[in-house]
Amino acid sequence: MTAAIRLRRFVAAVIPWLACAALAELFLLRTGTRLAIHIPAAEALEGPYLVAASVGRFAFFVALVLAVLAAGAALSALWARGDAPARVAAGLFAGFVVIAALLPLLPGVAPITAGIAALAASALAAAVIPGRGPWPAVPFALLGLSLLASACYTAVLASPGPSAAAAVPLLDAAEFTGLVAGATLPLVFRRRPAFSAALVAALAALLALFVFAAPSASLRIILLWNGGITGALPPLLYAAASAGFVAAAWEAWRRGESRLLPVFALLLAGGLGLHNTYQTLLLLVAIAAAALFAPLTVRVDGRGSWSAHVSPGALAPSARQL
Amino acid sequence: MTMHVRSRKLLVACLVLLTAAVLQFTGVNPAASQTVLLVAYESPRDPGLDPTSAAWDAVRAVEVPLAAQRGSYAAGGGSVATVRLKALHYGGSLYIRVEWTDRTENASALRAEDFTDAVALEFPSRTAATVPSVCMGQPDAGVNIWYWRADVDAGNVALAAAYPNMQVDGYPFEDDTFLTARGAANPVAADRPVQTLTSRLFGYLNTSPVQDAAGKGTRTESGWAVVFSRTFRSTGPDHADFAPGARTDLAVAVWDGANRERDGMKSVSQFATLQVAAASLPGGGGIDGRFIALAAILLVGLSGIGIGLAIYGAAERSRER
Repeated sequence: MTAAIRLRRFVAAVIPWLACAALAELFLLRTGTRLAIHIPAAEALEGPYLVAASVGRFAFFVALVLAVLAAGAALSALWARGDAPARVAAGLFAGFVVIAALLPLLPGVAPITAGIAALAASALAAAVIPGRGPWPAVPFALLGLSLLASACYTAVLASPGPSAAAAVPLLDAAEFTGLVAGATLPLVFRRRPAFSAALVAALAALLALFVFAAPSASLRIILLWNGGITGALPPLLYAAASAGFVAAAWEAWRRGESRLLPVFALLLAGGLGLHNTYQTLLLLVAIAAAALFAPLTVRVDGRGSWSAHVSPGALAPSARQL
Repeated sequence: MTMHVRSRKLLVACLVLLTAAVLQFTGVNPAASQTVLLVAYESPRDPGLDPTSAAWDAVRAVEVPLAAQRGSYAAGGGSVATVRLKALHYGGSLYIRVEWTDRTENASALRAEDFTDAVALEFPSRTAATVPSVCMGQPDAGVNIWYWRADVDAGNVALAAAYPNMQVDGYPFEDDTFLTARGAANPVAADRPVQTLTSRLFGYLNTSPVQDAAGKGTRTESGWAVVFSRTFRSTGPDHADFAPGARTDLAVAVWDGANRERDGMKSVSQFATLQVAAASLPGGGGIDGRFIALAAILLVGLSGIGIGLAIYGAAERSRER
């Protein structure tokens, strides 16, 4: 078994656990504790609240450790894959991990962290192409653009001259491209979604439309804080993004590509925009996993080179072990 | 073989859980915020509380966007779009200068229909187990608030200023026994322009027993400039502590009196990161411009690489077909 295959198997084994920990952190720490403060008579619930917060915090640290492990394995697997897009993506991804680790010690590197995160996302999206083709890379490339707009916003705020108000369109652009990325997520499968997927997507869209059209202030604050979603754009965009997300998850389950489900969960936990290096790392690990989990065959020579997409039934035995 | 693989997986799982537990119990968080960064360098001279002090000239401002507070009633605000923050430290004290645009000066709240301009800074308390809710904290993570009011700073506490034709038959008492608000320790009656407050949830705002934050505001051409100051260490319960080399979070709220803003009706920011730098203020002030230029070049240059790679990938794929 080549190093590339071993590393890829390791990533495949870690990602579901990472997704579980990240979702536990998202729902317990980021969402649960912040929703709970809106419950009247919160003093009576202080005990359960503190337990939930503590468990959520532990989930955060577990997710952080797993994310670092997954990142290390994913970038090594990408490097071992050998093609130019994968190697450049691995280099930029490694650059992000190193600079993000330095950020608590050297806060001045913040603009570089933001920039390299955006570049790593774009490069990782490019690394999706050799395995899945150009269309499946589109949602990930849009995520890269979204991070780029967020990075530019951070740079504008830190620089003299233009005011923060002038930079607000950059935030809107980041959210817009992020939402379009969600809406185009079914492109990952390169086939039209099944009727059942369209049906659940329509339900998700209706629910999102209801949520974003209603004047629910607290929910918007929670969404903004947890996922970088402001709710300031037309509700139809949020509905489309929700539909795309749900349709992609449904298709992954229906087509037997269940390895992509934790990838989508990580995109959900990572959210839009640049919040902290942990959430950005989740996004990058998700895109790297999408690049690695492409339904590819491995050439018989075992050099870890990749051929074009083939149906799962036609996979060579060596590839089916992955 | 299977046993070997299983025990290896178990070992990895145990190591992951152990590392997470160590990080949680030691409070070491390797993740860092990527929000707006305000750096407080050491000032070569005492900036004092005067917002027009020359010590601020060399400090680069950071713009922080604000939005209307809509999380809790009374909701409202939104008339102030941004604040410009500067920070310094000197002699073991932190100084933060807040400046914002406000065409109307509202420095009196003596009449029932008047509301004062005000600004507040919010920090996580030293006991916060996590980043608190920006909406006045949460049970396991309280916040420490420094609240400046224009009316108290301006000393507009005499009713005669608001009602020039008022008549008082005679009230000879001037000690706190008869000035009941002051006697009851009402913070507004204390003539202290900055109140030190703590909170662990909205609706649970308290005046701290230790009032150690100071401040002074002044009108600028376009609005207000206010300087807050406090020593790094505080004895107050649930107060924030600072130290050179340490970082914390900082949020801002602004009230526009002309817009009848008070209580929860205010413009608020999300948390920004405040870094108290151990280094002295660099010559250019704040983040070096060359650094930003370098970041921009990296960004644009490597974006090109990314796009080139995408094209390469597509071309490679079509060749394989």
